[in-house]
This record gives sequence, structure tokens and C-alpha cells, in this order.
Amino acid sequence: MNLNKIITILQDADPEFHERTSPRRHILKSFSSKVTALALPFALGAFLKKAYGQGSTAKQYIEALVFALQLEYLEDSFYTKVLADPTIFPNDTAKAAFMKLGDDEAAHVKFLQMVIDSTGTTVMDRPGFDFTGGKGNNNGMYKSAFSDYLLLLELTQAIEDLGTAAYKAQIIPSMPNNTFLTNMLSIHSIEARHAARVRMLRMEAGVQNIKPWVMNNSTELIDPSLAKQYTHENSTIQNGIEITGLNGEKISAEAARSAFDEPLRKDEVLKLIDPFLIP
Amino acid sequence: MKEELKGYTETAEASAGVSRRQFLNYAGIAGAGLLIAGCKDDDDNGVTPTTDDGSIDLGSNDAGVMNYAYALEQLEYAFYARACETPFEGITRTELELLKDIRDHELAHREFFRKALGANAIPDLEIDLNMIDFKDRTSVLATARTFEDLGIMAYNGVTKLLVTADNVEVISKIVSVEGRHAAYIHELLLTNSFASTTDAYGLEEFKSPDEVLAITATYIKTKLSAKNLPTD
Repeated sequence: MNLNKIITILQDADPEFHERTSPRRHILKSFSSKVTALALPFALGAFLKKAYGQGSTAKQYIEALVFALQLEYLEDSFYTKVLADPTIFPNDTAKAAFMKLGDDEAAHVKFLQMVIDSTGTTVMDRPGFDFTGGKGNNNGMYKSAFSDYLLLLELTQAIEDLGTAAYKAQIIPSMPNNTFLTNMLSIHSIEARHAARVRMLRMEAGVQNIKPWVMNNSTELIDPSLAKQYTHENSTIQNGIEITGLNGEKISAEAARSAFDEPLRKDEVLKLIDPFLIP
Repeated sequence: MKEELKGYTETAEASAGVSRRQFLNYAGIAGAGLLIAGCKDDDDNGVTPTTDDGSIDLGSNDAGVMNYAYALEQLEYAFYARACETPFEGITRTELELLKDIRDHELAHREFFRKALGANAIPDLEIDLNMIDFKDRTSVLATARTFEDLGIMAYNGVTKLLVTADNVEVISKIVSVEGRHAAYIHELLLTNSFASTTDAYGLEEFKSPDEVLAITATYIKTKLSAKNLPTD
């Protein structure tokens, strides 16, 4: 699936569906009271537009923004669906964790929509998703995720780790503009915090061999197709430097692997999320 | 807000075609086998220079930024090494195991910077952690939380000063691991505070080297100067 096709799908969806149905509307409301903070995405968009016009660099940023918004739509819609039936949570702590995750993703959506809008680009609408991973047949490999808490956590971890790795790959293309770069990093580190919390929820639920950080490329997820996102995680070399035992220090291969999170290219990410998109 | 807008000053340059940043970027990749080596030649300050007031100059260009990161990783490792050596009272087996993981990550980060910087590396810093009560759970974890949050804000704030793509990439690989550490430590202190650092847009904050070094000066006794770091 190429990006143009995704944008078309995004544009076909009902733009107001989410705002009408979201149980987290208070988040959207809270923006209107923050006048100074509100100026930030507009300023960012205006500067991107002014400085780069319609050149290739502008295209590069807007592509990165569109891609980021697509990921945030996915994450935000996912939490909206999960929170619609809170009976799945074993306790209030888990529920509160998911509410925070959802609130942050809703805020990211709002932020990116405002930036994209202020560049003069049409903000694509929120598409529908099939979180069972069935490409719209609602019968995919994660069809039990909304009734099976452990499976839900697994799917959530997959989404948050994926989000972190996807943003990471957008950092270098953001380099020519300091503010854009910093904003992408500022979302990226929050996604990493999310991923760690979800992994902790799995630890708390008794899942073995799981840590807040990615240990290696072994299957931390039951479904092998989603576990492919960890395919680069076995590397112990960074910028040509072997980290294991570096400078004679006691650094194990496991520490060398887990001390650095690896990025996922856009084409890799699109392939991984394809089962959740409705063609 | 002011700081944010400052980031756009170079965009006028960029609109003319290839930006300074992009140019240096390509030049850095093409011209240097070892990433920091590109900065070595034009860094006329030489190896671990000191400034007039006797502080250690972090240096300029990418090397200066990487030295700044190296200093923070030295602090983090020293802290976790001590926290693992004399664990706080009542620590659980899982907590100790994960604190050791964090210690090892910080060691990996520290050694990476040491190696990448080579002759440009600042010396080992003198670190004082005696104000921390390592027997006390809250004292240790609250300090850990400060260091992790600070590390993330430092990396988020300083990455824009780098010109070499490979350096940016490696910092982005490190900062998300720091984010994972931060979330874990936050949870040990207060349930579901894992991302309590977000602003209204769900974004993490960032800090300048001067802001960060003013805080770490409590622990890093060696005086550091960021005055030659790039400013945009």
C-alpha cells in the first residue's frame, strides 16, 4: 500500500465521527483555554510554509507530518475503542494507565492536525481501522484482544513500540528545521514512555521475560507478523562501534542491544500496520 | 515559545537551496570515516582544553554536543553503579535486576561516546553523590527520576545542534531508551506517572545545555563550559 492510497482512504472517512463519539472530548476542549500554547502549532506550520514554499523540503516535512498523523490516528482510535468497554481492565490502575495513553495520543492528533492545517495542507480525515488485524473483516488474529486482557496488552505494546520506532526514523528527515526536529523528538520520547508503561502492565499481569525495554529481536509478541518490528533489535553495533565489551568494560551483548532502540523505516511501518487498515 | 521560534532563523538560508546543515551533513558523511573525525580538524581548541576560569570546555561542533551527552552519561552511570552496589532498603529482586539493566545501558552509552569522541573526549569527571541517601528508597528513586527526565530534556533540546545525521540517529536511539527508564522509575514512585512530563499537546519538554548543566553542577564537581557549543 502506498502513501497516496492511504491519504485517499483517510480523506474518505467521516471527519467528525471521532469528535462526536470520543469519550475523551475534554482533551480537545482543554486546548481552547491555552492561548499561548495554542500558538505553537500555528507558528510551526506558518514557518514551515513560509520558509520552504512548495519546494521539495516542504514536501518532505508534510509527508512526515501526514505519516505521523496517520500513526496517531491509529493509536488514538485504538484507545478510544479499548476505553469504550472498560470491563476488560482487571483493576482501576490499568484503566487509568490506558486513559493517560489515550489522552496523550488525542493530544498528539490535535497537535499534528493544527500544524498540518497551518501549512495550508488539507488535514486528512480519520480513517476507520480494524484492530483485529483483519483488514476490515473484523476477524483478524487479534479478534480476541478486546475481551482478552493479556492479548490486549500484547497488541498495545506492539502499537507503542512501533510508534516509537516509526517516529525515530522521522528524526533525520526533520534535521533541516530545528523546531520541527525538536517537536518530533518531543513526541518520540513520550511514545517511548508509553511503550515502557505497557510493558510494565504486562509484567504486572504476570507475563514472563518482559521488561520496560526491548531486549532483542526474539518474539516478545505472540503474533509473528507484528513481532517483525523487532527485526533490527539484535544489533550490538552503533555507528560502526561494537558496544559489547567496549573499551574493556563489562557490557554484555544483551545490554548492548537493549541500550539502543532501533528505528523502523516508513515502508516497514506501513507493512506492519497494513492489517489494521481497511482497504 | 521564544526558544522555539529561534529555531527558524536558519530557514531563510535553507530556502535558498541546500542548507548549511544539509551541506555539513553530506560533507560529514562523505568526508569522515569516523563520525567525530569530521569535527576534529576544524576544532582548533585541541584536546580537553580548559577555559580561563579553569572549567573544561566541552568543545564546538558535533564533538561539543557529543561531549555534553558524554558528561550526562558519566553522571548517570556513576549514580546507578552506586545504587546497584549499595541497594536501598527493601528493594525487590525485580527492582534490583532492572536497576542493573539501567546501569548497564548507561555504561554502554558512556562508552559509546568515549569511543566515538576519541581524542576529542573530555576527561573522566569528578562526581559527588554524597548528598544522596543510598539506603533510602525515595532518595534514590527521586534522584533517578530527576536524572532520567533531565537526560531526556537535554537530548531533546540539543539534538538540533548536531549536523551529522549518524550522530542525530544514535542520539535518537539513546533518548527513547532513557524514556523507557524514566517511565519505569516514575512508576516506582507514583503509579501512572510514567508520562507526567507532557504539556497540553502531549509533548515532552526540552532544556538547553546551560539549563541542564546548572542542575547537574550539584553532582558534577568538574566545572564544564558549554560556551563553544553551537547555538542553532
